[in-house]
Amino acid sequence: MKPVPIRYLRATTVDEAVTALARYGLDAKVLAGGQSLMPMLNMRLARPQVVVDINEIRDLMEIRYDPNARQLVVGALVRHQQLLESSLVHAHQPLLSAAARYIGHWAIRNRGTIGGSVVHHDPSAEWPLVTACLGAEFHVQGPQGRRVIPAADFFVTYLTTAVQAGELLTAVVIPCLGPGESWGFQEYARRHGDFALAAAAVTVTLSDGVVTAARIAVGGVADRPVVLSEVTQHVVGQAPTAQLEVQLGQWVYDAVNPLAESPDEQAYKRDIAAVLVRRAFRQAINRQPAGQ
Amino acid sequence: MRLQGQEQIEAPIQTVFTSLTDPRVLSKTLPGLQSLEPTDANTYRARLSVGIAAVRGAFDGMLILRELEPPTAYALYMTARGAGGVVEVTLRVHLAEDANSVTRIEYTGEAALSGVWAALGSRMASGVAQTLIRQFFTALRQEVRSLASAATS
Amino acid sequence: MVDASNLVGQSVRRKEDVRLLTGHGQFVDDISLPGMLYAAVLRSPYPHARIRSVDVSGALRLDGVEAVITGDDAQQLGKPMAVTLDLFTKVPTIYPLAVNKVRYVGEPVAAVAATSREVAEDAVELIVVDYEPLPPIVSIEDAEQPTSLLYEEWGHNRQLDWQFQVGDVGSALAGADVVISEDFPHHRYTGVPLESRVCLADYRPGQGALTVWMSTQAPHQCRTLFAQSLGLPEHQITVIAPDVGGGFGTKLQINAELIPVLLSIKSGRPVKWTEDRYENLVSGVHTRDYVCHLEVGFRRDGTMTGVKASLVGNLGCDGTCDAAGTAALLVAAAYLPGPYHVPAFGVDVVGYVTNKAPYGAYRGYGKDIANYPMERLMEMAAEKLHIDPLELRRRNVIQPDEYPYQQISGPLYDSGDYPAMIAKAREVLDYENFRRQQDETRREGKYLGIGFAAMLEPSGAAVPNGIFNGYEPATVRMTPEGQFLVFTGNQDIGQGIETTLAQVAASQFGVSVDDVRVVFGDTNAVPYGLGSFSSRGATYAVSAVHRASVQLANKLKRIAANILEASAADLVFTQGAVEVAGVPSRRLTLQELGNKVYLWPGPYGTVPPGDDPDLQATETFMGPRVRWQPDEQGRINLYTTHPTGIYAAIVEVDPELGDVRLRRFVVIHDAGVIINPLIAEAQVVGGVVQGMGGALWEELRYDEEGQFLSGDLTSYLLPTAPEIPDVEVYHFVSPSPFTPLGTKGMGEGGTIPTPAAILNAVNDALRPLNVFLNDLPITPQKVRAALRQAGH
Repeated sequence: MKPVPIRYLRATTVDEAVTALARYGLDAKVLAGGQSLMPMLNMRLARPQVVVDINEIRDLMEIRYDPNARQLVVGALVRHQQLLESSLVHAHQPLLSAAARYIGHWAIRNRGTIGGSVVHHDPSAEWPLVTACLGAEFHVQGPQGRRVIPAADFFVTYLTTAVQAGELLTAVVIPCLGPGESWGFQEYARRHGDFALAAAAVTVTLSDGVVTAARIAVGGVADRPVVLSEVTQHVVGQAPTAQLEVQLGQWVYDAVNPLAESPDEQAYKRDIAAVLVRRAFRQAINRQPAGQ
Repeated sequence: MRLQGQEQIEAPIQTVFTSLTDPRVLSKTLPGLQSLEPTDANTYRARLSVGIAAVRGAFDGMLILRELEPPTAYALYMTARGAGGVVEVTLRVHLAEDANSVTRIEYTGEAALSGVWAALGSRMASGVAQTLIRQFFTALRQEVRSLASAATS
Repeated sequence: MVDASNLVGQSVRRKEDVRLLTGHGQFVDDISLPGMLYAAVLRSPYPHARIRSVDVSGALRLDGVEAVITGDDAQQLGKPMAVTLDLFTKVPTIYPLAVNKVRYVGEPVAAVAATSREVAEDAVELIVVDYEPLPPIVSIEDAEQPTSLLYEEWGHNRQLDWQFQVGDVGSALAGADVVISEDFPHHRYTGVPLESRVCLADYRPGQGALTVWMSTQAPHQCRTLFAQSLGLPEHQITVIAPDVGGGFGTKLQINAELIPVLLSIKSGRPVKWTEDRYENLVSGVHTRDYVCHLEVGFRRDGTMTGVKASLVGNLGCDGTCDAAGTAALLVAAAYLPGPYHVPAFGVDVVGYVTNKAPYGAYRGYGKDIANYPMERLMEMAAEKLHIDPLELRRRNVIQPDEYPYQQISGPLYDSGDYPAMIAKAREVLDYENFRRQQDETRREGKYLGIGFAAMLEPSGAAVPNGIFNGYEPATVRMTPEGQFLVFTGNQDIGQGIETTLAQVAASQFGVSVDDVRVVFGDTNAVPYGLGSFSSRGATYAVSAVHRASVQLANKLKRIAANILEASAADLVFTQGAVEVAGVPSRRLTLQELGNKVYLWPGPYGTVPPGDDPDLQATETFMGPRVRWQPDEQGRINLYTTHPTGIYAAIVEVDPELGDVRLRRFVVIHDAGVIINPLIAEAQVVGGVVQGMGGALWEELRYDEEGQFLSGDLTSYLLPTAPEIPDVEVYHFVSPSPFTPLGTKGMGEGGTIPTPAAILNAVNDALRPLNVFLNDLPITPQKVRAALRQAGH
């Protein structure tokens, strides 16, 4: 388990990194936290000619709160553990810290980065799910300059995003929790810290005892996180009763079409996607301030 | 692992079938193909550098088209060896044309990974395979379109 | 200084931990030699294929490559792999690198020695092998109706085929009120040591001498196997096992370790092979993987009338040379009656070779196979007979006054008290209350279940015809400065013998464990002993060290008596000295005694006539009741000691997710006299966790084509701390009459009954939903599938 010969470059600015990435194109890989890339290199599953280490690019390490846009601007190099612990995140988008708890183990969270996770795009991972659910925006810089990719276009398929060869993800911009909005997050994995068998992220806005807005997304059931907009349409305008929850489970069950190796596995993923969404929805309702 | 899917190409069945079995078209549409040399009738030696994102490998193998029933069916068999093991793909492909001259392509088959890939990559393998097939058809669609426009101009 | 006589039974902190926990341990990979090369192995991607050709020219051209070997070199430089254990088995002719054909995914085909591991791996990719795939034999069904043969010369795929019967089982079952019968399949899983296999080979052509540093549980057997597999004279071979990061039974043979040796012979330089995790999982030994059909007859009162079993094992490519697992099926057969009164017994055993990795030993070695079907069946019988599962066991277990107990299948059980342990389990679990609570929580949609398994752990094997033999020497020596060395062929693999053996010796000399150094793991330094397997430490090694210590203590007393002009019978060891009992003024410190005998002044005048200044003693322990000569019923007895236990698991099942959570795990355990409770408890807990792993997570998966799917630790799931509840351990002490201290080896007990207890608990939890699971590991997907089928 030793990698093929690789040229190692260390960038200290975004421009340096982009220059290097543009030069080597498909033959280069970005090294951020290394929690996915390093094992893939060692197992020789990944065989880039060049690795561009971005760990010293200071500009990518911050979490900022933008009160005007009500957004969190999360640098691509922000570690999972930072998101888990950040008071800004707790205050403005606690769904992120809740999801971060499910990522691997402490040692992994200390190294792994949000940028690495979304660009690597394992469709069972937490950040693709949560950023898709919340409608985040992805800021990318390349030889042609900067561009912003909405979440709906960002996750293409397994291990593939809209980030092109030569481009570097610099930040993930995540909308904050709105007034009257609450959230739920549920994940089920074989062991603590494993990739999810399935996971669900939900936000709900209630007004006068009726759901006025919601976001529902499921991870681990397709080649990318699935945002269930049609299911959301069914939910909006309804009172969050026990009966609605049961219906919600059924809608999710009908809406997802998991990729699986066997009919048993497909049925299983359908089952638990429905259960997890239902439970996340219940969590979100329970988090509504009293009186709602 | 099972491979299964449907694709549509807006072209007559004969055009699509010819493209699918034409090495000149295949050499432009197979993802990561570097060279395709005929060694026998409908048998080719193929070199590929294929994968998605960082998971990428160089392969050396055989591509065989057989059981040709133009223009409605054929089978594709491919075996390719790389550093991490062997990939074997067997696909049965059926074509049908509808009233609007759109050709529907249905494929079913198996892809088998062996060696290190099977042991380490099984969680993602079927997804990767489907992705590559989709890439192939996207390229094929484009190729058929440009062939059609070349023919009409 | 600790009082000597009390050291046995004390939770002395482990001597070795200071070294191991501060990063000062020395494992094979920490050792480097000048000019050392690194090995990498090319492994087969096919489960079954003929090798048409191997072209190594590309690898040889790569800068830094010093040697490349293939099956041809294995044949030319060595011999067929030596037999580890042959008991009624067919033994194949095989080499450490595939010759002519490959028989499992991951089988070594060629190997490279290069100046770095990176270069060696680059070179491996340049070797071109032309394979002709053959139909793979993956399942037992494939092997039974062979579409192809692993070893063409056999004409079939059976490595083992053996039957045994005592009493008229047919009538016993016919006369039963109820017969419970079921197929119990068990999946393939194995021990995953933190340190994989590592081997540094240094062949010196000038001397014809070979030194091998390797991570092994049995250095001496490995030395003999090297001699036989290489055709080298054994006295020129040294095997050294320094710190070993776990074994669990998987490191008891040589197979891939021959590869760096052959590379060293070919290159004339030292070669190190450090197995990576993929290699360890794909080709390190595998275990379990069997189906046991079990039929047990019961009277209405729950007592057994007879047991009939048919055991079929899927042995992978081999379990006699490549590893030593095939005979585990025979151990299983001998112990299927377990701790119960069984009036009639019959068993058929078949082991098939298949295109999977070699079949070896792993914590249990067939005792787990004996336990799992029977303890699963007991709970099914309890339900059918409307008898509480603990009560059903109580009605069938051997009573304490029946020991030593001759089991119908041959083994002689030394001691135990199952009825008392069952009573203790009821009390600890607050059992009646639990049943009430279970009913209540079910009404709230929460599914709790409790499952039991009785445990019987034959420990200290003496298996004829192979490496799992049964004897153990120990030498105990006092230095001139009055400290002690214990030389043992037992091997420290993390289980704590550096402390326990020191406790046993120190107890005889009135010194602390810090005054005793346990020397192990060097075939040039210690007597020919058999290492660590079969939970034999507290049966064999402890008994040998105890006896050698007693013998040396007597000699020291005779010499001290001569110097002190006292009677040896009046002397006692205390506080690092030997003194006349009750007269502390008449004493010699052990340092004074050692000085006087060896050098200052020396032996003349200090050592009495008939004794000499060689202050050491060697004793070899043999199992006093081992019997290899079959009795009139054809029965033999291989194991000296038998720890006993009652295990209980409490689980909570989430029927919506199929999730199984372990809520409590209770172990009532009896391993006779315990030397170090801290270490004994750790052995139990470690074993239990490995049993939990097998029940819920760990699985060596192959697809139908024989491709291996569990090549890393994200697909082979080991239990981690968050999943494991506190394991509550309660000790009983029924001293063994067959060992001098009453001790019983006890390393495997935890693993043996745990899978049955957990699956029993899951089935108990889901009983109201009419779900019966019979498949391991218990994955959420399987739980959901069963529930879905039952309409939930």
